[in-house]
Amino acid sequence: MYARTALIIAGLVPCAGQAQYPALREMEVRVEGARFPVSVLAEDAQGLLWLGGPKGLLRTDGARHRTILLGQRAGVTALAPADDAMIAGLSEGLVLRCTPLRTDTLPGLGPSDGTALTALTVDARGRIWAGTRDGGVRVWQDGRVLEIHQADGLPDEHVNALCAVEGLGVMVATDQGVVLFGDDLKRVVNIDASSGLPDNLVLSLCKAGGQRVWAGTYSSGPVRISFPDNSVEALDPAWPYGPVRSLVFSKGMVWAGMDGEGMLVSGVGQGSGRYVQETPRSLRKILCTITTRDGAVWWCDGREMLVRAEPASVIVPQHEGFDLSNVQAVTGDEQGRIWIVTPNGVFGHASEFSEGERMTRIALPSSEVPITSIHAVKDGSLWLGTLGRGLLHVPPSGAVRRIVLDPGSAGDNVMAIRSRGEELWLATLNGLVAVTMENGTERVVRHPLPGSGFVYDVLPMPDGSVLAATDGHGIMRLTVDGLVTPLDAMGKRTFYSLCRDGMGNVWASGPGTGLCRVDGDSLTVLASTTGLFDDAVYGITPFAGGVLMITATGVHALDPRSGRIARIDGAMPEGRIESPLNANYTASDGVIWFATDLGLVRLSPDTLAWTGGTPTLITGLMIAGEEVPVADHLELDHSRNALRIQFTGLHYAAPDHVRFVYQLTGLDPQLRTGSDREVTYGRLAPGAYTFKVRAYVEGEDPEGPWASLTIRVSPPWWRTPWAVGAAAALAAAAAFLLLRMRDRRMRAREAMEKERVRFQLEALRSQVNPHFLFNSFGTLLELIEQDKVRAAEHVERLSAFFREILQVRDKDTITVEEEIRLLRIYFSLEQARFGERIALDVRVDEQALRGGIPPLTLQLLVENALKHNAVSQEAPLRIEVLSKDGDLLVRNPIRPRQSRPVSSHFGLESIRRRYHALTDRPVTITATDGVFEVRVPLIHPHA
Amino acid sequence: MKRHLLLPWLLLPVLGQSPTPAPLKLSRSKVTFVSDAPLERIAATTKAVKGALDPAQRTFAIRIPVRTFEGFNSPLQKEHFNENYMESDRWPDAVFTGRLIESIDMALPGRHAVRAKGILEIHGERMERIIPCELVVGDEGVRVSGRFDVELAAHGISIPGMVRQKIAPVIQVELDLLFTNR
Repeated sequence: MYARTALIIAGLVPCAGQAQYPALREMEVRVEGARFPVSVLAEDAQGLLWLGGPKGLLRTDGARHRTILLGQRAGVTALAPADDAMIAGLSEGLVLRCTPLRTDTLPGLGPSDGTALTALTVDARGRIWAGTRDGGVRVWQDGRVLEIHQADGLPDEHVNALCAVEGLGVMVATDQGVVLFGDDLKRVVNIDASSGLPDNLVLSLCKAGGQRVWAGTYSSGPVRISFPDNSVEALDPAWPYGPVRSLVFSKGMVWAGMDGEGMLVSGVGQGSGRYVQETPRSLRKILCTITTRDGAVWWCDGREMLVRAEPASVIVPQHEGFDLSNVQAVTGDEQGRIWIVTPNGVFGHASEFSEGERMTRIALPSSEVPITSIHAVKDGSLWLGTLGRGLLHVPPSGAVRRIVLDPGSAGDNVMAIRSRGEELWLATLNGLVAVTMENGTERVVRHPLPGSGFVYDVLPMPDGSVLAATDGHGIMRLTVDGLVTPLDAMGKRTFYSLCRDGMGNVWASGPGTGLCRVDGDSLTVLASTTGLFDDAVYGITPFAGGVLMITATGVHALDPRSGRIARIDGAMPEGRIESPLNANYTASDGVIWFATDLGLVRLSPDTLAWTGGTPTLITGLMIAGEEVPVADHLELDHSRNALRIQFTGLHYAAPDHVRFVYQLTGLDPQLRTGSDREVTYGRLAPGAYTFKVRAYVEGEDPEGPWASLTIRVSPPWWRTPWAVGAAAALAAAAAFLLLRMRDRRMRAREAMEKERVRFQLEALRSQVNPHFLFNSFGTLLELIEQDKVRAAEHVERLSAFFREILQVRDKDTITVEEEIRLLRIYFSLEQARFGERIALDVRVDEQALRGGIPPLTLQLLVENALKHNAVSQEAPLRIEVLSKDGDLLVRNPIRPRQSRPVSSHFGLESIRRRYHALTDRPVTITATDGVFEVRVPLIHPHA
Repeated sequence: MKRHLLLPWLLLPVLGQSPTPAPLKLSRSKVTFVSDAPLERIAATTKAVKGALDPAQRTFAIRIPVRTFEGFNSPLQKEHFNENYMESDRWPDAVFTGRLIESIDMALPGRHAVRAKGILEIHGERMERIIPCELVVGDEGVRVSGRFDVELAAHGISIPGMVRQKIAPVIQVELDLLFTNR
């Protein structure tokens, strides 16, 4: 019918540079409100991002920055991640090893002239390589700095880039070519113009996988160098762009950060597959580009803006000169090609836009557009549904044929085409249409539906029935018998889309209805108009076992395991998108294509959500307000038991969507949830705890591994077992000692009591000893004869003496004053006998008079003196009683008597024993220079 | 910053000691900058550039006294250029020191495309630049010409919003330098 329609194989447009780009996210970096320009980036071993610039160094999780260095002299020009730290080169030549808590200088590693480092890398052995502007390479190895200069095989002292490649060594890019140094720091090979390097001036380097590197040249673009054959291969021998300032290779693509042309991304091939990255206008001069473990590529331009290219999606706004921002329908065939319908025609292309295959274009007569739907079938032919012009068949031969379905009526508007076996099912604006082949010609059977008959999508079921998404009449089922049954018990709803997921579930969506699951003959609403889907759902398609929804705010997915619907961050740029109805397709390898006003979008399922959860990290620990290094285990003292734990979940696509579940087992009775990235536990009681935290993205189920930390709060020392034991032992010992002391005191008292009794006995005995009595009575007899008055006095004195003795004999001590009074009475009795031959001289001061003394002590001493010494008229025996230094002295000259009296030696010994019971101070007896002296201490105070 | 300004001049005697051939001195120069803003085009030129080129080491140093630029649209404009933007009292010179990447024989007459890599210091801010130049070895000496862009913001020169329509954020600079051994 339309034989003049031709199939033209493309090649029409001389490779005009394909444009395609991933979803980009911009991140503005500010520290306390001030702009923080970023000129160098690195990802550390944990997955945190470090940003260096003229103002200093930050570590970030995308949401929260942590200042590592800040200040005038903290400008960072180079970064390299080491195992447990970040190596930073400062603008004044210093090289630091930075962790959040401390920075250590690596002395001597920086250039000796104080200029900034141009590059840093850490090799497989942990050595740090530093590139300088005019001083070669300096290597830090075990605290020593080794230098590599031209004499060591460096082609030039100007080092522009360094790249450590496992198994190879370190590549050094200079102004005069690149050179590979082996692990022994010896030059392995030099690659320059003579080895085929198109430009010796190499500004950047990156790993290319295996034993290969990419070198970014000044004028010849990226060049791949392969070892060990040292072959050199330019990405594009006719490189039309400028200098490559920075370079990464990720997922088969080379990302070249250009000196003034933004980011260029290219597949690897001879001049093909290249596309120009449309970077934000401000980011043209790209200083640093890195790729992170989530597959994203980041870059910066020396200003406070970071750009992140999301790994999940590629957006193709145009291809080979054709605008792809107005794709009307998309599908794929069994050969893995995708087919796109645009106002310019129908195009076929390989599944990867970067592989450099040209598009196949099927040119259609202008009268056939607009095309609303496309479907590829097994035999290789395409079926196209038009608006008002029925169905078009494009067989592999290319002869486009039109099949009129319902001339002049709404039935010629084909909204969707699906097949089941050889049977085609069409959704039209006048019911369902089945198309089958019979003897080489199509047989068209119309199935009118109740109501307006507007059908937007159709889904043939394995049981032979067919589902129809209708306008205002819900989902209808057309049974094998031709019966039509409505599934939507709730009545007058409109559905736009139908799909079946990998598990056989059938899903339907529509404006305001969100997502519904078709269960037999009923519908289960999973997400209705609760906010998430107030916006249009443009279509649904199978995705990773669940369903992907293309909506005005981006891409949402239903996780079939949890039944939850989550926004898939990173799939689309921020902002609203528009898409034609049901212009989407899921290929057998899971790749999803859909049309948007930004361009055709390709999503890789392996980089999208629920691929193992959000990595969780514990990033900071503070004990009693003091930060400590992050560790797996913490020992806390009972007095410093306030703990703050900082953590993060790495989801750079949308850091604000990260939520946390956490628990301190031993304290929190159950899991806690929140969006705060830290938690504080005020006063932890002694004991053992485990803190665990897991990050997840809002709307997803938490499923990643836990980050955990064990904590032990030690009890105070007095509650430790040994302290309790020691205290018990001490108490027992004290009790024992006390008892023993009491025992000893009682024994001492008993002994003293005995002593006193003995003493009294002895004293009485001495007082009434026959000599004394005999002498006393003899004296008395004499006195009676000579002087009756004195005799009477003597008797009185004698009686007073015995009375006094009776009074004091029970006392332990009496005052010295009383003792001296007693002594004087005694002495007067003796004086009555000896007369002038004896003399008593008492010189005791006031204080000593108040002191205490065991009774009869002085009398005993004086009696002793009288007993042992000779007395005479010519030389009277003079006995002195003196107080001296708190002691009492009884002193007399030694004049031994001719006949020695019999002594029981009781006297002095008795005094000693009595004093021993009363005081620690000794009784001393000396006999020197003819003077006998007894010194007795005074007992204070006298009670 | 003074230290950096002096550096090239300190280097000169050192360069002078290199045995062969003697360093070339800048004998004729023309440096022009153009600011092409929507409302105004400013072009100014100086011929008072000082400099030297050592063919043996391929090192060079040039110094451009900023105040010597002439050709502004008005005397007031020149004053503003020196006072407000370049702050010529603080930083009287623009300096470019470095070396040529390509090793060429400057004794043989001919025309070469070279790249001059060095530190460009304007307004006290130093940046590494690689500037492609054309180098012609002729009877007169070695003539080097090239053009490059200077992003004012990168050198800490801020343009107030009021005059943004009159001063371009990126200035084109053209060099034409003749080095001779006289």
